[in-house]
Amino acid sequence: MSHEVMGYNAAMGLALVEEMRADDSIFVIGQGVATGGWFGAEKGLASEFGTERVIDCGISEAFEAGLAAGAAIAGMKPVVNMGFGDFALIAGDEIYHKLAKWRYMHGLDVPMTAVIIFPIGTMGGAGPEHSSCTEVLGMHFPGLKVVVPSTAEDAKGLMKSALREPNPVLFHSVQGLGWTRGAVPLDPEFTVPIGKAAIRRKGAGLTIITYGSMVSRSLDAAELVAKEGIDCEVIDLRSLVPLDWDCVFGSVRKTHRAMVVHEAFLTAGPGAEIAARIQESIFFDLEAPVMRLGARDFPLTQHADLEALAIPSTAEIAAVARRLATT
Amino acid sequence: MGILKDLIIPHMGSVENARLLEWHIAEGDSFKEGDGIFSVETDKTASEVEASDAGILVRQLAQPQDEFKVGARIGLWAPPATPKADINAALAELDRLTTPETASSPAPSEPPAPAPSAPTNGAASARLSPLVRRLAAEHGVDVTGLSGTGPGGRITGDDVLAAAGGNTDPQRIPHSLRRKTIARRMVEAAAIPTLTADMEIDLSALFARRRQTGQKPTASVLGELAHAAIACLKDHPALNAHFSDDAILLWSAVHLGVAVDLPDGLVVPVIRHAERLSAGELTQAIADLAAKARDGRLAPQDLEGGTFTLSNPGSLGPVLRAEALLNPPQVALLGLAGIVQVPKAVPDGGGFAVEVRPVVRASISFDHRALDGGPIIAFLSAFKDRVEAP
Repeated sequence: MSHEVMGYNAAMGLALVEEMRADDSIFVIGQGVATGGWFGAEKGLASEFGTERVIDCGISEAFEAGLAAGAAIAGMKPVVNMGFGDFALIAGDEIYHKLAKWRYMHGLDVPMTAVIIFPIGTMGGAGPEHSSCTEVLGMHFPGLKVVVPSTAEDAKGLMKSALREPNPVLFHSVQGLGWTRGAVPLDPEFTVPIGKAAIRRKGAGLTIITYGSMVSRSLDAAELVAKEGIDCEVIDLRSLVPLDWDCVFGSVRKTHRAMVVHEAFLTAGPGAEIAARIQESIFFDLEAPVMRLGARDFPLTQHADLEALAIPSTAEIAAVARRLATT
Repeated sequence: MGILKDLIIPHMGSVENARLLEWHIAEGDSFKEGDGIFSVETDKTASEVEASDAGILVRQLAQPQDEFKVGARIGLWAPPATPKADINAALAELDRLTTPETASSPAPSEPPAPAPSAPTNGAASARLSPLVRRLAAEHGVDVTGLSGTGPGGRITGDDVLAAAGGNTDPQRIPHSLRRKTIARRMVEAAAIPTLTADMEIDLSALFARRRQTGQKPTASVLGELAHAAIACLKDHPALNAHFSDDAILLWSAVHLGVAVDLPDGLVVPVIRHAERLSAGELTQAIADLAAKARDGRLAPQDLEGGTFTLSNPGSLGPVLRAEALLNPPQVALLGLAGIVQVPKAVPDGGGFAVEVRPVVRASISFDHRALDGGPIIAFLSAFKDRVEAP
């Protein structure tokens, strides 16, 4: 299979182009998507597919999400770029009540393919209202699938799967990774299955469970502590709903020690659910309490330097790994 | 740290709680086997605890009047003549591990509650991890006497397994690649609606024919039965077939899979174009494949492309029935149970007489998606007639 090195957002865009060529029912809507879109993901889409299928929308996320729910239940496959994960709360009723519930309310016979793109996370001073990691909302309301790619390859592969999925998918693109580059398979049939985690580093001493922006930091931290004899396994969840419990439990059964790292807020964040499930399910495989590391629990600061102090750093991940290894 | 050993309050009959009265050995001093190290008071009596080995008292972890449960650690000791430098190094390591981090502590996730580990005067069992508790119960290991190699001297799962020694029960045998493949294929096969039909076949005529030749037959009994079954498949092609999602594929060639039992799992190598072979040639081909399988010389292509399978568990022991899971996409499998001598009612004049006859029970296990019972009974009847023909 041939590959091309490209950016994370461009890889998402490539998935859109390939699927839109193959399936007329897919259309894209969002603020500015016809003029390049958010962070370049939709660059060039309008010139190929026209403004009937690549629709610029006024500033109303609630309207966009409502339109997506209606179009999806009518058989279209809408893709909405919400611009920022923060705006999930503006569009919340349409996403968490309508998109999430309608298939179930109507007997599951009707597929509802819809992809809501939520760019999430810090990117150097976008401030407390444009940096939120809102993926935990999708975990809380049943009926949605939730993905967070951490590489360009997964950005393409998960977008392909999302567009072929009968359930609505909240696709969280990581803002901080938007311009990072990686080798991306060009095969139009390449997909990354939703619900499958990837083990990014094999290790026997402890398991770091992470996703999105914290994958590369966790890998860096694993290298740091490897020099001290602490052998970390690093799991990139890729999907939060469904979550690959087999992979998580299998790893922790081997290492007997687990920690969860994410950029989302610590309290009631995804790590709370993951840690709880681990101790509920495989308590008697644990040598130590499951530890968590997330953003500090206060509204994010605007200044980039302070922002960096609010979210987990490589050094902090390494410190928790050391503490876990010696507990 | 391994050189430091725990000094514990020993078990004393039914006593549960004890109070330390007095140390008789100072930190850093040596003691001989039988020396009194400390005195304790219980609800029943006061007594002196004697050393069960000689050694050096490295550290006192408790003060007189402290109360403990029996089994609790109250001090650390080292074997006699342990160099001072080694003891100091072990203590330093212990202190390093048990002092909570201060400077670069990341804090955000740190719960205010328990500091990592402090092997103070608490009972050792209070710090057992869930894993250690489970393993100790599974292996019947009493952890109170164990010295831990984990952080802060804590007992780890590995310590319990080491204490269990060779008696680990159950023994863990990781799956071989072949075992994994068998497991996967069996789960696939078990999903197929499979039924088995049996027929008892009288082998007296076949044995008589073999004796008649007057010389040692070139074909084994198995070779002859395989040859007869393959001949019958010509008239019953529905059994020599593959089932796919949208069609049944009938084969005119018979590529015969032969189940071979090996110590590390079953394999089913394939004899290509078995319909072209005589009974003697089949006998040789089966022997060759079995030898290849035992020597690990089978090539991947030796295991592929079977259209019908022969399983002969009767050769391993006197099983009564040779029912089997299928080898998909094949739709049928012939199983042969052991050859046994049985009393049989045979026609005798106008009635019956009982004779002892050699019989084999032949079974066809079949994919009920592809085949119904009718053609299976027809095949078995034809097979029986052919083998029993004088």
